[in-house]
Amino acid sequence: MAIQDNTLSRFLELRSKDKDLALKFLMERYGDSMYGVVSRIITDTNLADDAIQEGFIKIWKNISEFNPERASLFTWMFTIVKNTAIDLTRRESNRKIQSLDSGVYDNMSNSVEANISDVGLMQKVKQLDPKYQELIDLIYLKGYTQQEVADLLDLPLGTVKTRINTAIKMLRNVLAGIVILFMLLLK
Amino acid sequence: MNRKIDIQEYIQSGILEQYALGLTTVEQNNEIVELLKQYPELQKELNEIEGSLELFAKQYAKPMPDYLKGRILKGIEKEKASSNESKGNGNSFLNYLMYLAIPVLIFSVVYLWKANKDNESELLIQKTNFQQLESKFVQDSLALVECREQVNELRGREQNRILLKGTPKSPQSFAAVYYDTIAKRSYLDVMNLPPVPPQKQYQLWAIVSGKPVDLGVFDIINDKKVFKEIKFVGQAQAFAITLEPYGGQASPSMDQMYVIGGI
Repeated sequence: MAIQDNTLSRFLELRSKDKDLALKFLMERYGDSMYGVVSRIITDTNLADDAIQEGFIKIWKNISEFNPERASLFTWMFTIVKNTAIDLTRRESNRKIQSLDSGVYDNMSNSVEANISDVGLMQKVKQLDPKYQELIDLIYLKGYTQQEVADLLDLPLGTVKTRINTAIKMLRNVLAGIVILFMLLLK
Repeated sequence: MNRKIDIQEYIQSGILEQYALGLTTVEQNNEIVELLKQYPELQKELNEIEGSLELFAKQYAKPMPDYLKGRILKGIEKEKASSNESKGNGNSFLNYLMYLAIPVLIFSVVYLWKANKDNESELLIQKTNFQQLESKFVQDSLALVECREQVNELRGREQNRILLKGTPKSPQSFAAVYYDTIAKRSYLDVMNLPPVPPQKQYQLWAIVSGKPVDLGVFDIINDKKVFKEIKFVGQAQAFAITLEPYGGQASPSMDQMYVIGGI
């Protein structure tokens, strides 16, 4: 199920005609989310701008590689942009973080895309217990390994793993709210 | 080779969460990819995990500045230019010819530039127009997606949908009105009406307190379906469509009623 099938079909239509236009479409559609994530990873505005620019150029170069059967548009773009930002940070600071380059495309699959225009739903995400927010932030957005997080937060590795699963379950409950709403609308 | 697993146990193990977060090893990734092909339940589970992570990422969305969009597009142009350059370096004989051709080319360009200054400025205008059109096209594409989503959303709301069924005059006809009393908006969705004869137009009516209220005329072009916002009237009891002389009438021709539906 994909709530934004229209976005995907429009993108595929544009891509078949002109990949520049398809890129511009993606930039308008998902640029704000990508910019937000990168700004979260990199606090330096200039460096964040560089990461976004580099990330979108990679998207443009690989645009014909996107396969909707293997990944949602968001997941595909997010992986490229996030990894670019992490790599750039690593280059800049030599901070030891996990390389996410290998298997980027293999690691993708279809995902439920949610249209998160609803401020109320976003508020629910933000109400997630800060200890879970922090954990997902460090691992999902900033690319820390579980061991690094365990060391950083002074927690046993097992606790980190359990908390990650709990955090994702909580997020899924919020998402389930969207899906149920969507299903009700479809009835 | 297919491998049998206990799905619930596999899901409970948390490996899919690890996979979605990019924390699994290459070997584990390969195994998971194979299992995903075999077990749709796992794929569904992973979809939901990824969806929840997307939700998490989107909470940080903030407007991307225009200057940055401009930088990206310039960067792409540079990439194109350097790609063309590297393609040109592949054949030494061709390169040699190219070097020979450069002075001729420069001369020609200068000559043409001088001779066609007016054309050049015209070209610049056209280029600007093209860029504006291109930008509008992208914006329209986004608007189209949003419209489609709105239409899907409206079409999904049965509680607000009033079905207008074909009268004996035209049993195959079929339309709907989406009547949102909270937002005070209504839409007409024509799915099947006969082609309009010359000098005629369809006219939509609302029945309020037992009396018809004119909601305007509309055309069906090339037998295409119609979906449009219509004037909102409160307290409507029913909606109907009649075929009227071009421009419509003050009151409906009852013998020309094609569809009707009550709330």
